[in-house]
Amino acid sequence: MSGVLKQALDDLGGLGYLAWDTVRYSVSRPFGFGLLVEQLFQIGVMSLSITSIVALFTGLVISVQTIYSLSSYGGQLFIGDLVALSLVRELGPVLTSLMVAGRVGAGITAELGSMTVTEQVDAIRALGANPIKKLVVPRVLATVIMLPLLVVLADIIGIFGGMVAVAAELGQSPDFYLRRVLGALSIADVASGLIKSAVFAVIIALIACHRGLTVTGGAAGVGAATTRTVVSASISILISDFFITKFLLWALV
Amino acid sequence: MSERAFIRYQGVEKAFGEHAVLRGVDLEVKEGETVVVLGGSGTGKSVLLKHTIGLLRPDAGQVWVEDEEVCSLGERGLSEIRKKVAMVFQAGALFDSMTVFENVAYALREHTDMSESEVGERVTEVLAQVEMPGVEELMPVELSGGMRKRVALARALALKPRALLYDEPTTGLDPLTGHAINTLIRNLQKSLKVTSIVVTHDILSARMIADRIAWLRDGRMAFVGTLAEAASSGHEELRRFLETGGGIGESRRP
Repeated sequence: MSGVLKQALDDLGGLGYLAWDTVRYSVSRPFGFGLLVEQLFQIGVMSLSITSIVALFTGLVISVQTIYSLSSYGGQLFIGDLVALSLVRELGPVLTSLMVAGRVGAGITAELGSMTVTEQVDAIRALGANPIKKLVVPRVLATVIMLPLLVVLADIIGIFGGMVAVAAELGQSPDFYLRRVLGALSIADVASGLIKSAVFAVIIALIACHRGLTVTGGAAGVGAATTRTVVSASISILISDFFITKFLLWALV
Repeated sequence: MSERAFIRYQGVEKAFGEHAVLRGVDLEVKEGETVVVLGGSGTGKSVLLKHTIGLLRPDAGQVWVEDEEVCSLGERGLSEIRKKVAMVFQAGALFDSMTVFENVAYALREHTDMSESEVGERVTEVLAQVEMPGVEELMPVELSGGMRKRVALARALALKPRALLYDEPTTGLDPLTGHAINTLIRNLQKSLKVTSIVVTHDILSARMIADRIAWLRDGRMAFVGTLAEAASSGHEELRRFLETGGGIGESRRP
């Protein structure tokens, strides 16, 4: 048990250092613009299809479930409100982040992990460059920039999915549905979803980079680290989601 | 060869967890000299090499490059050391997301204000030095093991370092390719006069390129001297190591 605790504290300490170094090197010159653009593409653009599909079907299913549960109370008019609020405040950020933790987090750990075991990370240092600046900073920044944008897209697609379901199941007009959606959402709702997703982005990227850079034990080690990244990033997202939600409800409302 | 030590290890100790790898290594490498560090697998030869440019920090002891103590340096100081002392990694450690050109140009772009055409000229020049002209646009995965080592050597040479550290330059190569790499290293020694430390368990390598050999055993330098001295020394195990080509150190490990 004490071994597990020590490991957990080591990981937390390592993450803390990495976070601090990332902040330090992201403001130091020269700014690696090319590396950032490449990661924006890898992390953001390449995640478009997976997040869109997840968002579309989430919108469809919440809508169908809501129709089912609200119909007995005559609450069909409020389906737009419910779909919009649950998507924008909660499901959009959390589900998108979980998908990104799987796709991007695993990808980062696998890539940096292979670079570590083949001494490419040492080679960066041996050539007088800094691996945090070259590898970690662009990945963390790109995730923090792209994840909120993906969430906005997911929100829109999810709301669209809800609209399709409501129109098909109840024959409700899209015009009415969208008016309910826009009436229900406040700036605070959108802001809270975006703030959440930015925090989740930091969690995903830092955990993934840290695990990648600390890989030991060859190819098997890379595999194990990749799995642990997805597991610990997903759990961290769900746990921190509760606390961020409580905090934002207190701060924004 | 001057008498001044260019690289000096003083009582270097390093442990990984419970496992003590280096237990007080002392070694001086003079300017322009080539020292081959011999020893069985897992005796900490590569670990010692990585201390030279601060990739690892010793638990105790000091590492000097010219008159600077490496362990006391901050990031900027280390960067300066790494421009002077370049390392060739075991499997090459080429960046596999980049072309050969970008690999070799990496340090030039990082540390100099050279224009792209100057960078291009220097890359062509070092690739010619390692007898690998015209491979600029290939990716590392398209290269054979021997070619990768040559490109890695070219990348290390790009900034005209004063010392080179070779980590197992011939490991994993067939004898002919290994011989070609040894010849290349020897020719570079002659033409560029760089100080070199070569870590290997390849005795042929040692015979071809070493001015002196250093024998790492149980975390210390058990012998430092020329090959002739080694052959006539009282070190029974080292003599057998030299005669058999390096298998002994491994099989004798507990």
